[in-house]
Amino acid sequence: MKRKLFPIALLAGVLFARGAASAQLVVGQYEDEAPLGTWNTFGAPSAPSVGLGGTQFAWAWDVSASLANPALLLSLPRLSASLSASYGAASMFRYALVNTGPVESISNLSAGVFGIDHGGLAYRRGAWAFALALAAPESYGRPGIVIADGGYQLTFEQTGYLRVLHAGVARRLPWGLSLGIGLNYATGKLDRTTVEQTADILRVVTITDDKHETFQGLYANAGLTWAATAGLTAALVVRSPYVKEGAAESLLRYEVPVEGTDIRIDAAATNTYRQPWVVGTGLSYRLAQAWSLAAEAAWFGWSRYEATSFDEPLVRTFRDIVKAGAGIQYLARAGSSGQPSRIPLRVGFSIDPQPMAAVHSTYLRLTFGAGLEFRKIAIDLSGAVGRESGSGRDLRAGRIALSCRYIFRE
Amino acid sequence: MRLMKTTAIVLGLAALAVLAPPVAPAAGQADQIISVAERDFAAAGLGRKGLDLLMRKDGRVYIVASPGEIAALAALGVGYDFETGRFLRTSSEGLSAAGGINGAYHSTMELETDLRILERDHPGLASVLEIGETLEKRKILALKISDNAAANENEPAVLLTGCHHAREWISVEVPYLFGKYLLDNYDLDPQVRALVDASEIWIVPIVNPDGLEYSIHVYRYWRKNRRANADGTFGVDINRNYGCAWGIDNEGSSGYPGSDVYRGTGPFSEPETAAVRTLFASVGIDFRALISFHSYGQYILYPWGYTAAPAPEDAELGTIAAAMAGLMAAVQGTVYTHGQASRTLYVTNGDTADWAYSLRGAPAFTVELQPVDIDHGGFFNDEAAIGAVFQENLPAMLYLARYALDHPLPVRPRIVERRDRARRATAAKTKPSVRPAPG
Repeated sequence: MKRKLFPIALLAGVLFARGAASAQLVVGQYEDEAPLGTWNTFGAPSAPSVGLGGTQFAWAWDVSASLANPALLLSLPRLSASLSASYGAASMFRYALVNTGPVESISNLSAGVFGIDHGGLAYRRGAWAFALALAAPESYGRPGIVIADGGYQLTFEQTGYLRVLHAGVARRLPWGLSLGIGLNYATGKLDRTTVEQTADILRVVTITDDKHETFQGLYANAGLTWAATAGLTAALVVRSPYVKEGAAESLLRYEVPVEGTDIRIDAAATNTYRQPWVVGTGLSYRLAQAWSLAAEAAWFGWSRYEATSFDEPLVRTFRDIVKAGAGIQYLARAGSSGQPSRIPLRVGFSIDPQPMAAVHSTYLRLTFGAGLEFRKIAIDLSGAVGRESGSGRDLRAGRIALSCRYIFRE
Repeated sequence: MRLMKTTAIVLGLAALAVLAPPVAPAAGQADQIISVAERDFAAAGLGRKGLDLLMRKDGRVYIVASPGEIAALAALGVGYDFETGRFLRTSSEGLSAAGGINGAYHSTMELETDLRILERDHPGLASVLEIGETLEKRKILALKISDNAAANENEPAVLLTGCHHAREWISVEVPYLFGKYLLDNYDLDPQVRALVDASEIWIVPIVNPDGLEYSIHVYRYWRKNRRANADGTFGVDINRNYGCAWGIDNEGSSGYPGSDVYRGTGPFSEPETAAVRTLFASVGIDFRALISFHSYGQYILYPWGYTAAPAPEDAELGTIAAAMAGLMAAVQGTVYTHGQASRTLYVTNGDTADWAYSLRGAPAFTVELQPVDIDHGGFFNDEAAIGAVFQENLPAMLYLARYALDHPLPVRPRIVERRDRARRATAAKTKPSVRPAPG
């Protein structure tokens, strides 16, 4: 599940045509703890969901659905396994050192992260269904910086991730209802290092700012699904608030070896990030034998977000937001009538407002995807390209996801 | 705290002895607690000199000595250690600043907590006032110390400020500890009591809270405030944003927003400088002196900073600065170079001291604290050295406060803004180096 950070996104060069945009300006988006791409993460959508406007509340393709709506486990095959990976990239303003003064760039910088999104098993027996999955829904990577100018050098690196171990259970109820509950144990880390060095013939001055933190938290998610008709499913989902909490260490150091100067400030504390409630609703509808659509909306209670760093509250002026998405799928068929292959084709869009109160920054994403389902194996490849409005900084975000699923028993 | 027998100290004390009478009575010089080895004490016959003996302990004799007595001991070649710091009630017990990512230094939140503690623990003597709000909605707080702090008694006042520049963490501690010293020793030291009863000591330990927080949490060497400039860069150097000689040239400040010495879009364009202006220019407060603490370099600088031409009271300013330097050197031998700012360190325009002097004719100083250079820490000071840096500045702060008490300002405000406006119109943009330089 380890994620690897690329200093500059290769994919971003393909997806995002970048001009000589002015430096990133608006305060608020990329605080150190912000997930790369968007604040609004919920679950770990696999490729089919990505292609269908990010929808995942009212339809399921694999076990990853349980991280958003465990009730959907009852719609999965009797026993299946799935694995999903993606490459995500985002350009950004205001993060750490860049464009806040010490380091300026003439255009937006991008960071790209490749990683496994989830892997897991889903099992259904009678009126019950179960899921076990490991997911990595968030990355805290940032573009690395190396600046050298004569005897002066500055390097900056930030990496980090969040992993979630998920167990879900679902029960079929009367009247077309299904109820599911999931327990999630989240662990992660965030590492950030800045080294600034000035050298001349007399001395080398090195300033090191090193911060490391690990965190964990426990939260629940639940979903209620109602199969209103054979083709219409409605869902209500909720994710509990929780606190990512853990040990943080900091070292601030000033060294001039030739003079024997070595000044250190070591610190240790417990950092906390109080994650908000998420409540969502969605529906999926089969229009015809080959056509279906899904739509959903989720409310993120960011106004109650709180973060503390080394025993001090961080200023995060956030507002509640509603994220929405929708998509349509066409299911083509190919091959012989005995063992036909199914080829789902999907398009969608999502509207993803960010929580900063000062600037109403919103990502609009177009999504697309296609898959191949043959016998017990299915693979799916999807993409999303997003453009931000509100900051005036022409930010972009994109993702390509690849998922595969194997059905042990139908 | 070892005895310093350097030529600089002797010269400093000698200069002090010569210069003190015209500028300040003896009351302007703080007594110090020193210790002398019992063997030296006896050999020099100090028991017959009428010294104020405090106690004998562990083979040493502790003495409350005036600067003159200390100078006399030095002349006799008697070794002594300064011990004042061991006796002053300036411990960090109960302080919020202890620990945390910035160690023993105050963050904005910690400072507010500690100022409120001082206000609570010293009712009537201490009052915490909000003099402004920053761009990121942080409060700029002032601590007023007087015998009746809640009232405006129009007593002679002095203003001490810190942390105009975010990375100069030590500049928060020295004025803060001065306030704490005055309050903690009000009931113990008659000289402190007399000073507080007769004057108002105003302390703004953090002028630039937004910048300080950025320096603590993001980039240690951040200097300016957190203004989002129009070109996408951040920050205005608020010690180039005051209204005296603002933007008069591009040597003493810069018109390039990415520069570390960017002066802003106009004089007092920043809420931090506007807050200090509102306080210091208040007609209801009789401000007579100012110190703006910075680091590093160990300088005492006085106007003008914007020009090499001397200020009208150049000689008097120099005399005060020399006296302060002498007092500081007497504590632990730290040499503070003193002189006119533009000639001693570098040219600045729109800085605090020039503006304060131009506004009221008040003796106004920029004190660049320890260390002396980047080899010894630059903008970093060891946490363990905070107390020592404060101690060596304490007599100078007391001296200036007492000087202000005894020296009403002449009624002749200086207006230089009109002249500067025409001159700065011809200034061209430059982009100075962003490399760190003394504050």
